[in-house]
This record gives sequence, C-alpha cells and structure tokens, in this order.
Amino acid sequence: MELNQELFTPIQESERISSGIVRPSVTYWQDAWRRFRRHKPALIAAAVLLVIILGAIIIPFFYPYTYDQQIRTARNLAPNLQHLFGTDKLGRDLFIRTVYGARISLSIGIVASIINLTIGVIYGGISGYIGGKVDNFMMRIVDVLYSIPLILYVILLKVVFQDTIKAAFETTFLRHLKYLGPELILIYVVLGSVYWVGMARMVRGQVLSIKNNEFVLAARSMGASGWRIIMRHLVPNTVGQIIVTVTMSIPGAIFTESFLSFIGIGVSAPMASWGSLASDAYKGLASYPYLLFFPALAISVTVLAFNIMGDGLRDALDPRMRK
Amino acid sequence: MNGKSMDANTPAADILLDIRQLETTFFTHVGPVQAVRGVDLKVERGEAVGIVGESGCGKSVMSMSIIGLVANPGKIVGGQIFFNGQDLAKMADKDLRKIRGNKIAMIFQDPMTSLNPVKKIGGQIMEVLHLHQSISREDARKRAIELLNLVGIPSPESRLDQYPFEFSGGMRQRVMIAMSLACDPDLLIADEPTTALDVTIQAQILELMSDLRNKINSSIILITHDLGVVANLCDSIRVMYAGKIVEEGKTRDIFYEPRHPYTWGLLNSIPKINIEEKERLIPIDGQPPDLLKPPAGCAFAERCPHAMAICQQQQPPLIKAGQGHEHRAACWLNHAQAEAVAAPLFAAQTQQDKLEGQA
Amino acid sequence: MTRYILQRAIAMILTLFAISTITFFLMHAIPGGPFTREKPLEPAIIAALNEKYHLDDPLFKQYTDYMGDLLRGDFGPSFKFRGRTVNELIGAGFPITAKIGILAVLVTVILSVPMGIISALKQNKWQDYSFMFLATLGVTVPGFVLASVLIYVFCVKLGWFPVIWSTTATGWLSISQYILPMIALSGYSMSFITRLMRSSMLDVIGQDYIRTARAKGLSEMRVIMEHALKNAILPVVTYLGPTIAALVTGSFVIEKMFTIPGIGYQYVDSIGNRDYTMIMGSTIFYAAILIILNFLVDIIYGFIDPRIKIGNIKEA
Repeated sequence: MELNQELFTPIQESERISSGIVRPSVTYWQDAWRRFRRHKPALIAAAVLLVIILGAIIIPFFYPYTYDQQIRTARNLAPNLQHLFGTDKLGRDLFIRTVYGARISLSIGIVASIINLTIGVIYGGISGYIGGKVDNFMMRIVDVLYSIPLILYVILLKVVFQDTIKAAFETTFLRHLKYLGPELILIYVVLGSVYWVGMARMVRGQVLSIKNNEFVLAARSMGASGWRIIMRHLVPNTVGQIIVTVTMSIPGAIFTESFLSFIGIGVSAPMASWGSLASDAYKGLASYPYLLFFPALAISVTVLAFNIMGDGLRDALDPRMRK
Repeated sequence: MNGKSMDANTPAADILLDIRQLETTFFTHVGPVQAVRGVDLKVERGEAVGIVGESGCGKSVMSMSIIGLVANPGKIVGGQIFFNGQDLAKMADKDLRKIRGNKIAMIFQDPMTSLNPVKKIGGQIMEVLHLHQSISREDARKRAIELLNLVGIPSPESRLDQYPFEFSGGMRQRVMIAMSLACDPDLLIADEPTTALDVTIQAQILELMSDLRNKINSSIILITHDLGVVANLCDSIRVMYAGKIVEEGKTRDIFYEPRHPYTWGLLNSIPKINIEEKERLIPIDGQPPDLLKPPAGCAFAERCPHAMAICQQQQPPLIKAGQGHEHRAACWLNHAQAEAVAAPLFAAQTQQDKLEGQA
Repeated sequence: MTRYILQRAIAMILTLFAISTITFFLMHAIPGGPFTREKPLEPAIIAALNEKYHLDDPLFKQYTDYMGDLLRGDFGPSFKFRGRTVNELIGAGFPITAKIGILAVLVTVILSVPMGIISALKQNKWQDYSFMFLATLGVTVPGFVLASVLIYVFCVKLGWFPVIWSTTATGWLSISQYILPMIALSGYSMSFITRLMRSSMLDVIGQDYIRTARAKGLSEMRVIMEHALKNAILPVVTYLGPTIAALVTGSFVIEKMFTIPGIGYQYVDSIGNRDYTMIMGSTIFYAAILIILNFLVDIIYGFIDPRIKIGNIKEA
C-alpha cells in the first residue's frame, strides 16, 4: 500500500500531541473540601443546620415573646400569624419555645459530644500509644462497658446526682452558670461521661494503625522529621475520622436527651428542650396535635441533617476515596 | 438463535476461538470509555496463547467479554466471538451459561477472595459438575477428588470438606484450577493467575499449569502483565495496549525479534539480576491514553521515541513484521516506506537471557 | 469453638458482676436514703424501716448480702409496694413486654431482610429509593414521634385501636392492643436492619467469589441465593443479638404512651417513686437480659460462620 512518503518523517518534540492533563496535587484539606462541596445532600444539610443554629442564637433577641411568657388570652391557639406554631395551654408561644428548645437540645448535643470526645481521645490515645498489656486491659474495660445498656446508667446517674448538684449550685462557683441551670449541667456531664466508649475505641484504632503505618515509615525513610510526620501525615487522617465521629454522635445525644425528657427524666419546666416540649404536648395530642408536631419535626430534621452531613463528611475526609 | 457460523475461507488449522473486531465500551457517567477497540484473536485447539499488557490495556475486559460477563456499565458494542461455530457476542445469557464453566472456564487473579468463604471447597467444585452434567453425588465426589489429585493437593478426601480459609494462597489457586477443569473445558482462560502470589508459589503454579498442558486437551489463554510468565508456557503471544493488539506472533519471535516499540519498552523494563555493572531501570515514559477520548492515530505515539507524522494521524494496521510466519506488529515502522529502526540492544540481550533460561 | 464460647461466657459473667456492683453503689450514693419524701417521716418510723431493710448495716455488708441474694435470683422487696417483692413485680411486667418484643422481632426480620435484599438487587431503582427513604425516616424520627403519629392517626382519628391498655380485654381487643406498640417498637430496628442488609448485600455482590460463581455458569438466582445471601446475612445476624435484646426489653417511652404495664413502665415509675430496690432490680434485670441474649446470639453466630466454627487453623 503506497502512502505519502512525507508521512514517514519522524516528528519533532514540539509537534507531539499529548493527551491528558496531570492532576494538580492538592493538600488533604483542599481535596476534602472540594469533595464535600460536590455532595449536594450534605451541603443542603449543612445549610439547614446553619439556619437552625443561627436562628436559635439570634431569633430570641428579636422575637416579641419569651419562652416562659404566659398570655392568658392566647391559650391553646392553633398556628396563626401571631403565633406561628400556636400556643400551649398556658398561653406560651410555641415557636419561641421551640427556638429555645433548639438552644437547649443543640447545646446538649454539642457539649455532650465534646465531652465524649475529650474523654475518648484521652483514653483511646493513651491506650493506643502505650500499647501492650496496658492497652489490652483498657480495651477489656471498654468491651465490658460497651455491652452494658448505657441508657440505664444515664438515668441512674441523673437520679443520683440530681439533688447533689442542686445543692452544689447554691454554694459553689457554679452559681455563675445560673442561666443554664443545674439540671442542664448535669445532663451535659452525664451524657458526656457515659458515651465516650465508642470514641475511645476509634481513637485507639487510629493511633495503633498510625503507629505502624506504612506511610509513616515511608516518610521517615525520606528523611522527614518526627514533627513533620505528625503534622502532615498523622493529624489529617485522625482528625478527619474524629470530625466525622463527633458529627455523628451529636444527633445521638440529641435523640437520647429528647427520649429522656419525654419520660420525664430530662430537663424540667419551665426550661424546654424539644423532648420536654413533646412530652407536654403528648397529653393533649388528640386536641392539639400541632403542639407535638413542631418539636417532633424539629428533632427529626436536625437529626436527619446531622446524619446526612456526617455521611458527606465521611466521604470527603476518607483519603482512600480520592478518585 | 445462535450467531452466524464461520465463513468458508478459514485456514486449515483447527480454530477453537475466533474473535473478530471485538469492541467493548463502558458507558460511565463521565462518558463512554472504550476498553476494547477492535481486537482480532484466533486460538487454535490445544494452543496456549499469552496476552501481555499493562493494567488498563483491556486484556481482562476482553476475556470477560468472551464469556459475556462484562460488568455493568460495560457492553460489547461490536464484533463477533466465534466459538464452536456460534457467535458468543450475540448469544442470550441463558445459553452462555451453558458454556461458562463447562466449555469455557476461567480462573481469576486473587485466590484469597475468589472462593466463597462459607462453603466447603468440595461443594464448590461439585456444584460445577452438577450444574453441567447429570452426575450422581458419589461420582461427583470421586471426580472432585480426582481433580484435587490432578492439581497436586495432598489428602484430597479430607480436604474436600474443608473451607477456603483452611488453605494457603497457592493451594486455593490450585483449587480454582481444579474447579475450572472439572467439566473438561475446551478453553481455559487464566486472568493473571499468579500475580497475587509469592514468587516461589508463582513458580509452582506455573509448573503445574505447564504440567497440566500435557495432560489435558484444553486451549489456554493466559493473561498477564509479566513477560516472564508467558515465556515458558505459551506457544504464541499477543501484546495489548490501549484496547488493541499491537503485536502478535510465536513466542520466539516476540522475544527474539520484537517489532513494536511498546514491546521493546516492556522487554527493556525487566530488571536483570545477572548484569555486571549497575544499570538504571528503564521505564516507558508517559502514561497510557485516556480511553474516554482515544487518540486518532496510534495510541502509543505520544510515548514513542520513534513516532512519525503518520503515527499521530492514522492507526497502523497489523503489518507483517520480522521473519516469523505469523508475526505481525501494528506499527508504521514495519511499513515498507518507513526507515528501518533497530530494536534496542537491551532487548537483544534479554532474548539471550530467555534463551539461556529455557535451555 | 469451645474457646470462643468460653471467652464469651467469661466476659458475660464479668460484665454482669460489674453491672450489679456499679448499680448497687450508685443507688447507695443517692443522698437522703430511700425514705425521704416530701413530707419527712418521723424519726422513729425511719429507724424502724432502716432496721427492717438492713440499711443500718455497714455498706460492704449490705453489698455482700445483696450480691448473695442476687445469685439466688432474689431482687429483694419493693420499697414502694409493701408486701410485694421486686421479683413479683418484674414477673408480672416482663411477659407483657416480652410478648410485644417477640412480635416486633418477627415482624422486623420477616420484613426487613427481604426489603434490604430487594433494595440491593434493584440498586438506584424505584424500589431502592422508596425503601431507603422509609428506612432513613425510620432511623431519624424518634420512637415517640412515630408512636404519637400512630396513636393520632389510628386511635384518635380512625378509632381502630384502643388507646388505653386493658389487661382484661378479650378477642380482637386483646390482640389489637399489641399491633400499634409493636409497629412503633420495631420502627427503628426495621429501618436499621433494612439498611444493613442492603449494604451488606451490595458489599458481597461486588466480591470476587461472586464473579467466580457467575463464571461457573450459575444462574443469577442461584448466585444470589447460594453464594451471596449466605455471606451477606452474617453481619445482620451479628446485629440481631442487640436487636432482639433491645426489642424484648421494650421501650420505656412506648410503654408510657400506650400505658402498657410492662417492665419499662415499672422502671420509669419506680424512679419517680424512689423505689430503690425496684430500680436496682430492674436495671440489673434489663442489663442481664441484654447480655445473656447477646451471648446466645453470639453462640448461634459461631455455628453459622464456619470461620468461627472450625477456628482459625493456621494456614499450611
């Protein structure tokens, strides 16, 4: 087959067509942020949460009613323009009570999770770092704790320390936290000190895997110093997992608190968490269903949003999933 | 119902498998990725063909296409696969099922994960027998023991009732081989059978396969990225790159007289142990092309130090190359009008090593 | 296998011991003692009560006494309901809770496992989306919300089911009482197990041995039933332990809402009544049921998964 002879001249480097671009290298956090942005449901969830949190903080300053303000003439009203969510049997506006409920429930979720995190990181970190028999022993304890129905102990602890903390409140520095109240502080502490077990396990797993990880060895063999190893390799991996676990434990805490309040062992009147709002509303369910509907909706939406955002975070921060 | 039968002008040799212009594409959410872009492959009865190429060149997809197990979202979009007079590419799944495990058997890369962990291996072997043959339980059991013996597993009677986790990697691969031979297949496709194994075990398995070749009548297609593996076992070799076959010929021809720059690159990049001075490893520069938008010309052109203008414009057909009878290379350098380019010296030295190894 | 059982058994005993001890000491840390009421009782009466219940004894002696009683299965007398023992009370309440719980377990398993499988097989199609939507709702909507909705729709508006529990009801009435609580109770577990089954199935289907099974010529149905399912069901069985335990012990909230006189109701009640022995007994009973059930399911799992049944023999 005879072809144009010119075609057979070798090409110069400059004429070479090359396909494909080499991907620019990005840092772990840039990559994670990009991936998170692409996950639409997680973005929506994050936005919803932002609205709820901001609303919880800001709205009470502007709203005409307070959470414990009883308006005799406005009892048991269905939702209307004046009272967006209606009013309860004492004439209290449900919308603002729900907003305050957001403050309480969200703060419980976040504070309890942070306490869990602290205890878990310390326990798990020490256990993993020391390793050996100490680690074994500490993990046995964790195993035992894991198999116990912790909710029972949350209840017990609350019951046990209820009076003590009320007394402590009068007499010690805790007075200054009057705004929160002894009961709320107790819930923070109780929820925070019981559910750390999962976090401890996770942190210890991370520490162990990092101690022995190949890329630490690789970094070392390239001459990286200890500090560099920690900052560039250990931290991003562990921190990513920790962020995800904390995000996922917040809805759990909110759930648990609302459950406790519903059966009467959470915060009590007039302070209102979503759970206690629901509990009060239950009695009048037949006639005033909206009283239950709105707090329930608040809980469901918040928990759902945290879960979805947590899913998105997990996908974004998992280094193995980089495509 | 079945595809067209083969046309009248087939060569005298007994062709078992005749793949013509096979095209398989994956319809992904970023676009269609052409994994196999027009492959012709003939396998004779009793022949062992080696298919060599790097990851992503389409060799596994091609083998899965033969038995119709291309994973979603992949589909065969063109070409024919003639086997025993039928076109497999056009066959319905329920008919293909009668061929899978029966006339065409396949073994896969990772023996650690290729067996069902909660089923006894005896059961897994006998399952194939009961599926394709009407055979009694005792006969199936006997056959299973026979097969385990064939692949060199000691005390097969008791081993039959054990679970995969009770076997080592090499043993599991032997079980896989036994399972694939259960129904006396006409064609055995081995997709990277030794890649996941230790080097010593690798040697054992290859020896087993070599041994078996003498005992069974099956043709073999051996897929690998490792040239060393095919050197001993295969009668002929196909080198694949970016979804096409770029060089084909008898094993000796490919090793002694490779006529495609990619093959030179492959041969060059094998590290040598018995060299006097320290030498740098010579990798092939660059990366395979994006099969979402394959280039118009030769897919290797952008990495080829000998590229010519025509290489970027037109895809070379398989051109007769070298001395060998069936030796062809898809490279414009083999065209009469191209300037002759000699294979690098290294490649020539490699051939010497291979010769010595085989002696 | 025996090693496995032994390990689990020892863990169980240790845990039960730890729970009893912790519970005991926690209860005795409550200030004011069990007889503090709104209206303080006369000192003489308090003294008599303390003596009767051995609350005068040193703490450690009370502890050993209590533990001794526990070993014999005696939870002690109720502080609130004079003349009745904790054992009696639990004995009256538990069967009711358990009945609802067992029904919930059955419904959960019968519905969720197929839903999860179908979801996995029809991934990203309408069946998958609808099941997953329901399942996501199920795990995020709190149990009491689900119960409220059910009560509102079916009891208040439609009037199909009774709202108040009655122990003397007969016929349809006695059966119908169980239905709504059972649905409310199983909401969460059904959703969780559906999701678990789906992800386990998806995981398994992507495995190499499924590809091998197909390459052998097996029909898709055989591949799914024979090879995929046997592997995919394992994580679900593991989770079944805690699930059964949780369902059988019921939910405080659901019992409160449907006024079911089960152990959950009693537990919440006893907290309000400061019935200390009842609280202790209930807590330990709850925990014990959970732990024992988990143990039993672990054992069953050991028989199903050959890797545990035969043990990890070091590979040759």
